Amino acid sequence: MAGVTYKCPNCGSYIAFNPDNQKWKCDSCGSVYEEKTLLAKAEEYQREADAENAQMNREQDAHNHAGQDHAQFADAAQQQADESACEVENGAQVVYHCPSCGSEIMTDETTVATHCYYCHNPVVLAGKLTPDMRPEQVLPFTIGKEKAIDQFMRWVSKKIFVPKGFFARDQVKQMEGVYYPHFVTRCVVDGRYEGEGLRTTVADSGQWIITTTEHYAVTRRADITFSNVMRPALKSTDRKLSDGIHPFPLEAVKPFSGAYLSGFLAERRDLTAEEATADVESELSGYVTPLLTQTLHYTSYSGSSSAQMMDKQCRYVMLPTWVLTYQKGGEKEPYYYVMNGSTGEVCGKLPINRGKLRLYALGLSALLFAGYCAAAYFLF
Amino acid sequence: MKLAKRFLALAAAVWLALGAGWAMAAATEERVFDSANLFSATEAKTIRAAIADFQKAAGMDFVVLTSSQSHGSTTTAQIADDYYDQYGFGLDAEHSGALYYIDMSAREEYLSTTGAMIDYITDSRLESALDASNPNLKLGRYADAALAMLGKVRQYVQAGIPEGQYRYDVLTGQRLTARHKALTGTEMLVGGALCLAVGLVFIGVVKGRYKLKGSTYRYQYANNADVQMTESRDDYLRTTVTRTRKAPPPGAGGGGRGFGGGGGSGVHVGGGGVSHGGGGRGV
Repeated sequence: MAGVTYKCPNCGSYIAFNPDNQKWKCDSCGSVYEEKTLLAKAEEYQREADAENAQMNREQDAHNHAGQDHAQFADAAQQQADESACEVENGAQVVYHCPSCGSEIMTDETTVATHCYYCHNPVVLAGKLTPDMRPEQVLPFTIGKEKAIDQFMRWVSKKIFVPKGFFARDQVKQMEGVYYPHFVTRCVVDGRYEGEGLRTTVADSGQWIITTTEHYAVTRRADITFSNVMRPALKSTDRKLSDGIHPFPLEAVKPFSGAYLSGFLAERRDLTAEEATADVESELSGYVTPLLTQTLHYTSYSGSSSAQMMDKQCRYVMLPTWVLTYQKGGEKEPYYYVMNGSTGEVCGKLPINRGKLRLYALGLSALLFAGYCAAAYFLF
Repeated sequence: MKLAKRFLALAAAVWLALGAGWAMAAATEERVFDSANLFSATEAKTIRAAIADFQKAAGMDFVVLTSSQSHGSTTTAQIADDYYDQYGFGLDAEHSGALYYIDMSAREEYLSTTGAMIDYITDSRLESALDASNPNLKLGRYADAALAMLGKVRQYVQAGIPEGQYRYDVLTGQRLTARHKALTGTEMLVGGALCLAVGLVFIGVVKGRYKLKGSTYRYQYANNADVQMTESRDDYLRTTVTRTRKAPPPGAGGGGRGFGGGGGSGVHVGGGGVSHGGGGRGV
């Protein structure tokens, strides 16, 4: 397997995807490339990577056969030489060669796009995207880094209980754009609701109040199609953070191409669709009652619902996320933030200026108390 | 002129009824005027001490007056009011205070209130104060009656002007002052506790939001669900009818003097043009 750096056809320097104009720009010569040019190139790279994978698999098979014959004579020194010569998957760490400078890049098992530590060129590890691991769709970033930094600074400046000056723009600049793998699920559910509806009329006749209630047996059944149910496809995902920046504008997704990953980090999935979406059915069954009782026009009703999954289709989609790990001097734990790369929605735990919060709470109490006293004094 | 004449006539009547000798007494610190000789020396001393104590605590005056002389057509109210006015009782500019008068000739007791004391002694409070003193008079325990009255007055002054209190003219029924507005200690305490609780909830909500307590997951099912109804049935089962008797309209009953709220202090104008409150009861 090898890494791929998308190079400028004009000057040979690396090019990265630019979220602002949705094109690829060469920082060296300033050339700008359209989608179709780069997507064709990306397909070529992927074909090469697939061929290389196939070749490696064949060699691996041959090696395994030989290994079975001479297992007891395996030479540790030879093994070490193999590891340094090519890419070796060793537990969670994988080593690659930078296609630009030849340096070794160590990445996680799931990393499919990164930067070379030495020459800082973007590297797409196309070989990692074997056909079964290749996403079907990608939602390209529409918020570039500068915009993301602005958006983040705006977001924290609106949080009045964040200590003043806690977030420094220079440090926020360290945020990284990462494509995270998700499963977007479309489910068809046979939902059924059965219960009793009451229609009540109240009449006033002199000394008496007469309440007339009509009772109805109510049945509602529907085929409900739920779209865009999202689940992260990476085990290590922090659900609180990743859920907090939904929804993504999924109508803008594009067929997957490695070219969109150039210039960003990307992770591939390590969960299957079944594993990632195991809890979807129970979640969706909870929506059956509110959806089916929308059509009930009674004074009151009670009943219960049931749901049966008829069809479930999962799409493997890469979604754009800006990620920031913020470590402030004097704080024990760093703060983690994620931002939706399309909508700018931010999520993450925030530091609190406790003194200010208490002061505001006290002020609120005092204000309420003054209002209460005034109301009690003047109204009653 | 007519008013002045009436006042002079009344003053003369009071003078006659109570004896000129007392005139000098008001200038002194004396507050117990027992011309009917109802109190023993010890009893008078006890009453004086209680009054001095009350004056210190309340900043208002209290006078005890007894008489056994008949006073013709002059009412006990007029005598009590004028005695208080004429001798300038009261410790403040408003002459706030009360005079408790035991009239042995008419067999009546009467409490006359002046200045701020009018607001403390509402009609309903006066009735319960008389309830405390009256039985003592019936048993001939006059000093106990005076002390009971003083005790009640002191208790009411300590309790403060009741919420909703107002003054009204006893002759016309016309309201003279707006309802007294006050927050009781309990109301303040409950209100304060509630407001503090809201402050604490505010801290909790802000902390919860900043520290991402609770789930951040939200799926807009209403926007993302397409409902194709395959069955929709509403089958009539039965009809039930219940009848309940209406509650009687509020506001019926009540009563009391003045405006029916029970918080009124009846006010009349004495011969000298000074407003007094108060009332009495036969023995």
